[in-house]
Amino acid sequence: MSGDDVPSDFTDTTYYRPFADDSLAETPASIMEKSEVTWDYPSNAWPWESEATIKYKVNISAVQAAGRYQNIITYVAIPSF
Amino acid sequence: MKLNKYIKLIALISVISLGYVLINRITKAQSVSLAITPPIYEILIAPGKEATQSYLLENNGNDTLISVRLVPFSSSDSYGNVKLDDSLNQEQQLALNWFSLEKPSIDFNEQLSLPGGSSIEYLLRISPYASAPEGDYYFTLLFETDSSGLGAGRGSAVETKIGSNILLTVSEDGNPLKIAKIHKFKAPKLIDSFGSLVYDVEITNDGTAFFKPQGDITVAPTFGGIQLLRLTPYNILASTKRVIPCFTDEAPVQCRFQKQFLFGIYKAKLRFQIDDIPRYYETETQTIAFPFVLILTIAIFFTALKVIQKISRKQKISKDNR
Repeated sequence: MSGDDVPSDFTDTTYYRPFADDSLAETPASIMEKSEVTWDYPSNAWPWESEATIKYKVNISAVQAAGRYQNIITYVAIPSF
Repeated sequence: MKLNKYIKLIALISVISLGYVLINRITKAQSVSLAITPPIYEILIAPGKEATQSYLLENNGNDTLISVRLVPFSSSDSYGNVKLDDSLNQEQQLALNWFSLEKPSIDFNEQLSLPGGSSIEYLLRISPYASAPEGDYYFTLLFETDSSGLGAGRGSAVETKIGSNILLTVSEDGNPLKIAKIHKFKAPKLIDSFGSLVYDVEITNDGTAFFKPQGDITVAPTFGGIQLLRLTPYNILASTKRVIPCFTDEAPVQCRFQKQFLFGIYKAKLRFQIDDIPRYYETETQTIAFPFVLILTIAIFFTALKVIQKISRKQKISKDNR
């Protein structure tokens, strides 16, 4: 992850975080968070927005059977209360 | 001559075809961009009454199918983050029947098309039954894009969910039980003059309805003027506790006494009320600030100086004796 509001442990481009498995009811992995109102820093001009880029990495086991695989990546954005 | 013309024509067609193929090989990423206004809706309502709330959903990404549903949530930590609970208890199941969509004329979970660059208004009606039990109900109005197109050979699809929280209090007389408890009001007892004086505040809601603390921390130093640190009026849900920061310029910040050099006794008083209820919750703490590091540095310096002087004096005496 790189860009606005990404967690500080995404220190460089070699850092990856595994996705939570929804079918196992795992807690979603946080990729962007902010405790304040989002604004377009540093210009602070409307529209206020935070922008980040995500890079996926797939690790395929050497013993993985050949075939067609698919998944759905779900992004959830919910404000705090 | 004629053959040369043909070769030129074939070359031209090849270049155009190659260019077309290359241009069409550019891969476009999926663009996901949903925005919802307002992000939170707080409502106090009597059983048998009704209210409506308008939501504006904007799609700044690709064309998509959108559905909406209500999901109960609970507090996931002490910082106001939400944990969606897909399993409903009996009360939540009952409360779901109080919600309906007035606009657009669809049901929850029913999809509608939302082209990229467009927006749509949702009008949510809330009408608790006359027999609705009093209490708090917390839901997230969750808008979801469609991912059912997956399966035609694409490896990965993106689904987006964006939510807006609803804090609903059902009360017959409009005065639900609101009780606060100061869970934590902490500052260091002893601090170095060059350290920072930070106050930790955590408030528990022991009542049956959510509330916002309204108040401040007054810090009175031995020397210098009094400082007022305003508490952020964050919502604290029933039967939960929340870390309360201070705020300046509309942004939450650490509750910190703003001074570079601290010296003396700092008496701090936390005082707040719940919403507009004229009952105050108070507690105090005090911190002693002293320049320990500076004194220690000076002491080490003079001790070292004395030792050096002693050694050099001894050396001088032994030289004179020779």
